[in-house]
Amino acid sequence: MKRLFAAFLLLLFSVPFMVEADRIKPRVKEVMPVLPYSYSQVLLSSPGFRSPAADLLFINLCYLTGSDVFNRRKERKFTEEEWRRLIENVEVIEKLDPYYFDPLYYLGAYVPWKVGRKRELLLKINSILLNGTRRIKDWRLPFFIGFNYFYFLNDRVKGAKYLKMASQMKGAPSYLKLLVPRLYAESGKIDLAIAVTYEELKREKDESVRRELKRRLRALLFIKELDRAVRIYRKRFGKCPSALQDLVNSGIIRTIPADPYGGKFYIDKKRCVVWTTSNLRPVKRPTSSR
Amino acid sequence: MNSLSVAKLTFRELLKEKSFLGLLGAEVFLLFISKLISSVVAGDTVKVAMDFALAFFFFTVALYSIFASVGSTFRDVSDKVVYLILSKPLKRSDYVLGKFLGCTGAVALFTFLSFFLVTSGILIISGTANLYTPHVVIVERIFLLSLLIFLMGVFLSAFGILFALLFTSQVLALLSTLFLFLSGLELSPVREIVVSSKYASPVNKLIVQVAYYFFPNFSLFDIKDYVVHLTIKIAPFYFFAVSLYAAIYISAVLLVATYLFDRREL
Repeated sequence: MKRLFAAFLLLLFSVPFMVEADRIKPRVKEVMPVLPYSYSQVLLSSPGFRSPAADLLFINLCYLTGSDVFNRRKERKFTEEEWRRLIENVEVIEKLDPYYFDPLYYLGAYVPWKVGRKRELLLKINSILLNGTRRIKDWRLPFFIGFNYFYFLNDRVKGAKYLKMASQMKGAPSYLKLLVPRLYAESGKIDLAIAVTYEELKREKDESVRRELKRRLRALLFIKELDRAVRIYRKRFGKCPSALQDLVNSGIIRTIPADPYGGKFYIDKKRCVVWTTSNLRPVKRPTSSR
Repeated sequence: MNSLSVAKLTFRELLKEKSFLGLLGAEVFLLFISKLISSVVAGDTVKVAMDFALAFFFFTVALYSIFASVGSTFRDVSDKVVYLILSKPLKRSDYVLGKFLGCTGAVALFTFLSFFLVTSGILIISGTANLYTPHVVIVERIFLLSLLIFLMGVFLSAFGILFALLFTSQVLALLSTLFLFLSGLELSPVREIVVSSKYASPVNKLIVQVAYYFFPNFSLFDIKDYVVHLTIKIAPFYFFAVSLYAAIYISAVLLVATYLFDRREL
């Protein structure tokens, strides 16, 4: 018993030395590096732990980006190379656990805003997300791809293609169905926009969405009709009409139709195409004609 | 005395072992670890907890099967109990079969108890998780995984008995079975990497292909992804094929074990 007591006292006696030594121990202040992981190495070093390895890599990824999000004072900004590694690490995670949705969500919802419109990185993100859509049937994946094309890469046609894919998936919000024809129309693909709207009308059962689709279709058909009239005018007079009224004055059309959204149709003189001040969105008060 | 008597003896002896309760205790501890790890991840925490809990379940049963079969068989030989048993009217092959059946019984009980623990743990984790989109847990799928894990445990027991009879060192027998298990798990990934590699020579590719066909493929018993991701489907024939594969391979291993034991000088 005495020996045990003595041992306990010795243990207590050692504590201040340990604490002091730990305090003065030299430490290297380091920024946590963004390491590139190799799929083969991770796979072979985790037999039977393939999915947990993917989870750990994702935790590491969240930790690194978390420091980017929350640690404002240190202002850690990832370099382009570090972002590339992060994106490639998501690819490794997806290979290890191909049905894991969260890393893809992170990749689609967060990373594009941080990579600074770097085309190569955005295309890489889209290719990983596209791979994910082959296994995971979630509308958000094609939505992210479409959004990246539309917003960051300025490719409305491709954007519309993937948003259309998203709009047809289970759980997709109904506004996507209206967004797709508008993107096509904005990119000058009126025929495609009309076709997509017709297609959606055939499929859609919800009466409120159907009403909106019908309104969109009416507007698109008016634009198409006016565009056709502009082409005839150009052929006849060899120039673009200065206003839609010229089409009426020259007898090509009888009247200028009213925009079902409450805006006014006008001629975009740069491209010599017809568009509307409503931008295919409902307006409370009609805006003045340009 | 027949093989059933040896099986009963082995079964009772294995239940008294500390490793039985010890590994079940470890199972509970690892469930807590799974919960802890899942709490630091963003998104679907139940998915992460399940990944870890099921991986630990898989490995605990594998370790128990190896320890139980190698330990029990080796003890019989080193403690000379085998002389006592073989002095009765009992063939050596019946002894090996009895040992195997006893281990199978212990592995079955261990797997069942682990299944109960893991399923309860996962259901509690899932019930208490605060997720925007709940992660659905299907107990039937965990049960199907448990059946395959049990088959894998039986498979490993057969190898454990074989190595315990083959080697004169228990550590060597344990390590060999463990190494075989890990290699069997890596077989499919190695094949996937080597066959698709531009740098692997044709000879290496051939070696890997041959190993793939003849080495025990333990990754077949690993259907954890099927339990975690409900969109994955498995054909019912898969279970039939894996069971048949295990039965045939186990029979072959036991034949080799009886052959070696018949020729061994005790």
